[in-house]
Amino acid sequence: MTVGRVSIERSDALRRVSIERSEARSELAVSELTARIGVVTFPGSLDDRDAVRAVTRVGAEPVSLWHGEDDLHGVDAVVLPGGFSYGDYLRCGAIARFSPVMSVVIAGAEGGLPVLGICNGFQILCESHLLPGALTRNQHLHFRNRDQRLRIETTATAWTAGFQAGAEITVPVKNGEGCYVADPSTLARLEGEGRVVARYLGGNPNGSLRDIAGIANDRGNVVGLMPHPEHAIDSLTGPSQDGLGFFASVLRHLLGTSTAGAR
Amino acid sequence: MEGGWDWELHNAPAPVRYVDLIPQQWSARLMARVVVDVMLKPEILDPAGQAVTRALLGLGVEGVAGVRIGKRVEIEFDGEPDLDAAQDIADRLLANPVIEDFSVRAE
Repeated sequence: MTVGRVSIERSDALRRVSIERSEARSELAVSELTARIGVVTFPGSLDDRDAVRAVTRVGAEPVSLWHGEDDLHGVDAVVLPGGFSYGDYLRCGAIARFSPVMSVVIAGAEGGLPVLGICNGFQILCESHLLPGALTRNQHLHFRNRDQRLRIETTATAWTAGFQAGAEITVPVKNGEGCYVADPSTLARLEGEGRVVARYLGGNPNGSLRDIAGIANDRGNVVGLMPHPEHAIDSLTGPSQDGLGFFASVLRHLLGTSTAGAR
Repeated sequence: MEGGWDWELHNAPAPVRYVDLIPQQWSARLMARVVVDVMLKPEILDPAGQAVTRALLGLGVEGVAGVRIGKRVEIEFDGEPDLDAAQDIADRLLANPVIEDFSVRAE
């Protein structure tokens, strides 16, 4: 398993070097080299390493970001990973929201920076008011850890643009406080504006209203997702490779904006 | 001693009360406590409260229509209790206005 991963990463590195050395750089290759995706580590983050692997696997450059530093190091997108930031004290994500790194993530997100919050990251995005609603205790009070089928409900976000509309995927879900709630008018707005990003299929694991597994902000650059795409990038260790779609999507989104802009 | 009068005993200073040993600023700090109660809004499902309600029924307790579980946060202020500051703290951090209500009182 380790050998396989190392060889893939190594071949990725070799490919990048060869692209770098190549005289005739295609626009795509140049952009690919410049797509840097930050993964934040909070005290208590668990899935930052898997998120870094997922970023690497789609060919982007992962950049580790530290909760105590109010610097994004010029990254093109940010992933807030799963885990139990600050021990989930008070409420999940409530303390992480006020960490130095979040001040720059929030400012970036408001300016259009793609941000994906997975699980605890989704909770942090809601606490930061970058996404509406809140995530509460699973209705049945049990921690749920299983492979979960999802339907991708919109491709109009930076993180799902590469999926086919209505695609059904399987990725792990693992949470104790993943029950999405919002008031009826917020729910109606999310549905009406097509901002429900993913919905649970084959059973709702936590009691989320309207089977909501993920939502986006109105601009589509900020996405919160309760299930874990970063755990489904390798058929050896995950139920599928479906999770790669989110990371490949943002890469494509970044390539699009960077070839259009003067990068 | 022989006259039945214990001079030493009756002229001794009053015994030390430990409460007097507490520095003034400490006892003042104990006074400056503000309590914030944080409760899930009525329309938000409280599965933990429901589980306790069911447990009470299982224990044979009668007359309980429902239980809701919240948090009590005690804030100690230096000097006087500052209700406005506590209100601000509760609003910004202690409660999530999307799902929770809170109340603030000095204690």
